[in-house]
Amino acid sequence: MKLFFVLALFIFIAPLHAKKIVFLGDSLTEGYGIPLDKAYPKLIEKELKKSFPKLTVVNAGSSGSTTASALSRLKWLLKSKPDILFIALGGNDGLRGVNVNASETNLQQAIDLAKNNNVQVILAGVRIPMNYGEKYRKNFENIFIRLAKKNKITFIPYLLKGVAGVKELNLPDGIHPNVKGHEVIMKNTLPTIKKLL
Amino acid sequence: MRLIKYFVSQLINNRSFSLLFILNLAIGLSSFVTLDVFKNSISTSINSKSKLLLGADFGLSSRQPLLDDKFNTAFDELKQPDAETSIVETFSMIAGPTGQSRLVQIKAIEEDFPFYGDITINKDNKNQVGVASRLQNAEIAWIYPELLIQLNVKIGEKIKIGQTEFVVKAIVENDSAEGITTSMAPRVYIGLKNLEKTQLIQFGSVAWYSKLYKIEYEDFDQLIDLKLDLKDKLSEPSLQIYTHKDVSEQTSRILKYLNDFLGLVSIAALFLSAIGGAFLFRSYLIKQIKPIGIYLSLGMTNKQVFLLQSLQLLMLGVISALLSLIFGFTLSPLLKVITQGLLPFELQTQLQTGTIYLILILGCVGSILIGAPILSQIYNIKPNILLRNQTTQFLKRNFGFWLSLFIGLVFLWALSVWQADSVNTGSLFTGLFILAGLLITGFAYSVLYLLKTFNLFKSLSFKWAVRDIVRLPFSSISIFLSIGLGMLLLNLIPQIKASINYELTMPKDSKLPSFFMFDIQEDQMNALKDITKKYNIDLVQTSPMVRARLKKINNKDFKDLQIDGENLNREQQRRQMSRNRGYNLSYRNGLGIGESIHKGTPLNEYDHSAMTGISLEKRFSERLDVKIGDVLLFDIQGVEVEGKIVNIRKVQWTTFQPNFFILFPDGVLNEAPKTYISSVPKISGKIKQDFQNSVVKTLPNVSIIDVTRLVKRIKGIIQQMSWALQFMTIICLLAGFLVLFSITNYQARQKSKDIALLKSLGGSFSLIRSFFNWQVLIVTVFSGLFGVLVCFILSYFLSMLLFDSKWIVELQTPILSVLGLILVSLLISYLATNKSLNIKASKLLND
Repeated sequence: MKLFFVLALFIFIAPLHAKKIVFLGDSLTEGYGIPLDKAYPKLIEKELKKSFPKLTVVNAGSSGSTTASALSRLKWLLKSKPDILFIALGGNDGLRGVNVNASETNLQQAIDLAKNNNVQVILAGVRIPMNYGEKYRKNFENIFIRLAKKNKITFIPYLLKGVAGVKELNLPDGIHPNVKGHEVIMKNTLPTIKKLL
Repeated sequence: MRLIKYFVSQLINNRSFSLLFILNLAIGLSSFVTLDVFKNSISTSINSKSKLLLGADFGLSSRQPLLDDKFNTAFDELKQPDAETSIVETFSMIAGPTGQSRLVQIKAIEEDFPFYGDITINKDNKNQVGVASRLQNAEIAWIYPELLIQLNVKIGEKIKIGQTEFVVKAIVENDSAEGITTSMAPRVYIGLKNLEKTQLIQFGSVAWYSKLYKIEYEDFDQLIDLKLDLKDKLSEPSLQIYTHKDVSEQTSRILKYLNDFLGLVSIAALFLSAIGGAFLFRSYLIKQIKPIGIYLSLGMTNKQVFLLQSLQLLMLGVISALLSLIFGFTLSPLLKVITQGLLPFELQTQLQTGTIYLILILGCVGSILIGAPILSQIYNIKPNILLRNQTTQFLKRNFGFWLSLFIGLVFLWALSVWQADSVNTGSLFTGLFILAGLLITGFAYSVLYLLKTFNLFKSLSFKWAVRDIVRLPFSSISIFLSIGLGMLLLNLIPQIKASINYELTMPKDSKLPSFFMFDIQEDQMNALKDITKKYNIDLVQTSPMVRARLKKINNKDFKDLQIDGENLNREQQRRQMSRNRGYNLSYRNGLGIGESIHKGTPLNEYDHSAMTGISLEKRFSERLDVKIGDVLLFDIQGVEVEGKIVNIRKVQWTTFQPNFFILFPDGVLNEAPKTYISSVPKISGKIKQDFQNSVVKTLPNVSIIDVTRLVKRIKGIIQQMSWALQFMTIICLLAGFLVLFSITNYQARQKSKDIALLKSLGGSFSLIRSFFNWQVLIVTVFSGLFGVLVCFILSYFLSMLLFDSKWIVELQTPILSVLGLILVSLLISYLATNKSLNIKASKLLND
């Protein structure tokens, strides 16, 4: 009976708890080329607020940023005491041909810092376009799989699943998702985030 | 026949006037012709440079493959290109023979690329023009030289691009189609036919697909029309349509500067000539009043006299125009020979048919319009003028005077509009020149009043000189106006040149950057300092960069200021995209290299208790449509930061230093997540490569872009522009001095009668000399100073309104020109007075 009471209380209180999710990403997360409120972190916030009214989302996407900035940016973001950290970085590392080992080390440092501060981590996999060559692409893709396995963190294998390369879901530059593309990203990622809440 | 005889005798009898008038008009027209020749030559040269940058006249680019049928149909309906070629550009990691890999830009070209310029390759240690057709036949590649080290590869060895190995056949020594933008990776050329073998381009690949066209066109506007028509026909948001001029903003900006400046110089030369001509004709006509009185008393009507004088002017105009054309035809080829090797471009001395007609029209219509306001005044003259001694008082400003003055100004306005190819610019030129005329007239009136009211010197000769100037105010003012406007125009061009040159000033070679580096993390700064110390390099303008999103302007949501709707057209989509992008902020106290405050006050030190001030770059503030006092709210990674615009900053783009649209004072953003951007000044070959390798190895995320080739390219164009400015200024200075010389010389020669009178009244030689010296001094000092003063006012407005540049005061030309004017006028006056003093007074009076 006592156990039932505690469980019921938890179920009742949990949605009311003011959870904070921080999206640490690059231009894909920032919503490059589209209004801020149409970027996928904001769409996720809207959806989650239906069940978690006090939840807040911080879009810490920054165009052009690489994994090298992850640690310093996270130090700044930890001041706002997030509960969940959604990492979607690495695209610019790949596009600039950065050494994959360096990108992996950078991401690992950020994961360590988050874990040490009791922040749950979701890692979103990033892939680079086919034109970068099969070998580099594979090496790059494997970073995220390795990190997820090693750190036992929630993993979304591919952030742009169903979006990359689809003309109708991207801006004229062919790289950044448009509003519809961000809606697809939201639908892809929302179930995983919900599970953590 | 009798009429011609009359004209010839008039020419001979008034040879001093005729010669100076013809010379004056011919100088104006010749300057006009020369400037036209230069304008065409320079425009062609810079135009061809922009064609080289693109390698074609016209182009289309998209992230999606370009479908031939669609474009061919569109072109068929508009204008059929003479030739077309396709290009695919993409980035890829490629590997050298030792397995070392590197990010490169793959540029897959067809056999006829480029249409303009060439790719110079070094093969077997010899430079030669690369024949792109050879790239198509086998798996071969031409690579940029830095890749030899970066991939550890030698000529003849293989590199792996995608799934295929290519043999490195040559290194690219010079690439005219390198473009004006920088790329973060060195380039590798392969044949378009071989791109497929690499398997790099498939679903999920990112590439630029371009079609470049060679199109014959007579007028550049045809290309612009084609661009607009194609935009309508191919409503693809992802498609970029551009002309060769669109490729480089810098090139088109330089062309605009140059065209406006040349237009200004041409008009200034013609204005100068018109002022000189009008002054000479006025003096001539005053002398002709008595003969006119005789014609009238012999039965000629005023209309006939008017026509007779107009025909004479017309004849002078025709002679001037013919002289200018002879100059154009004979001296221009000579000019071409002289300037060969000196000029950074080829002079096209062929006179255009249009220019020849224009010179003839300007000679004929111009001479009449110059004289018309003065001629119209002889309508009032009656035969009884013969009985009067004082003739100038009969030249009254009647309706005809004002009407012909108005027509003359309208003609100059139309000419200015045509020259500047813009109603606004042409109107600005004319408006400012009219304003200048009014200001000088106002100053002249004030001086006459002061001279009349106050006794500055007690000397008799000074009092006489003042009395003589004040006695005939209209005549004196016309001299002040002529010399003042002459001085104004003479000084205006060097003054404007100083402002434009300031904009084009480039730092010394040693300060020009070799590399730009970005994405430097805060915790990497020490490691970077160690590397720069090792290679003895001082980083320039290392700036923090904070990414932010603009949320509100004056408390109004920025998104509300955007266009809504699903079906936005291409322009709306692009505008939307640019408004939705984040912005890079930076912070520092004080201005950076090449920055100046256009409006407002400097940024104050950060004060926690008050709203922080921010500084915006001028063009950026215009794009955002914000002004000083507006409040902008930014979102920096979830934290809101507000700032009030306290100044608008101008950035001199030729410094090639990293600059920011939005600046905060030191202290506000220091805690925010940031990266650093920096530039590396010029360093030599070996150190350059070692430094680059060291940065890539130690700080793998730091992007390091080699801008040496880009800087060299832009520097070449800027130097050409500076040279053109210098040359035009010299032409204008020469024309100005010649006009001023003709005015003062003619003025001095008209004194003989006054000298005779003074001599008959018993004036000593020294007193007469002193009297004329005072006269010359008063006129030249005041008119020179008026001209220079009004020139400063005009150049200020022109610099700000037309050239959008900082107003720079250049004092050398004003000082030298005023001193030159005074000294030369005194010398001419001295010689003329001496000549007259040595002739008997009775002879002078009889003449």
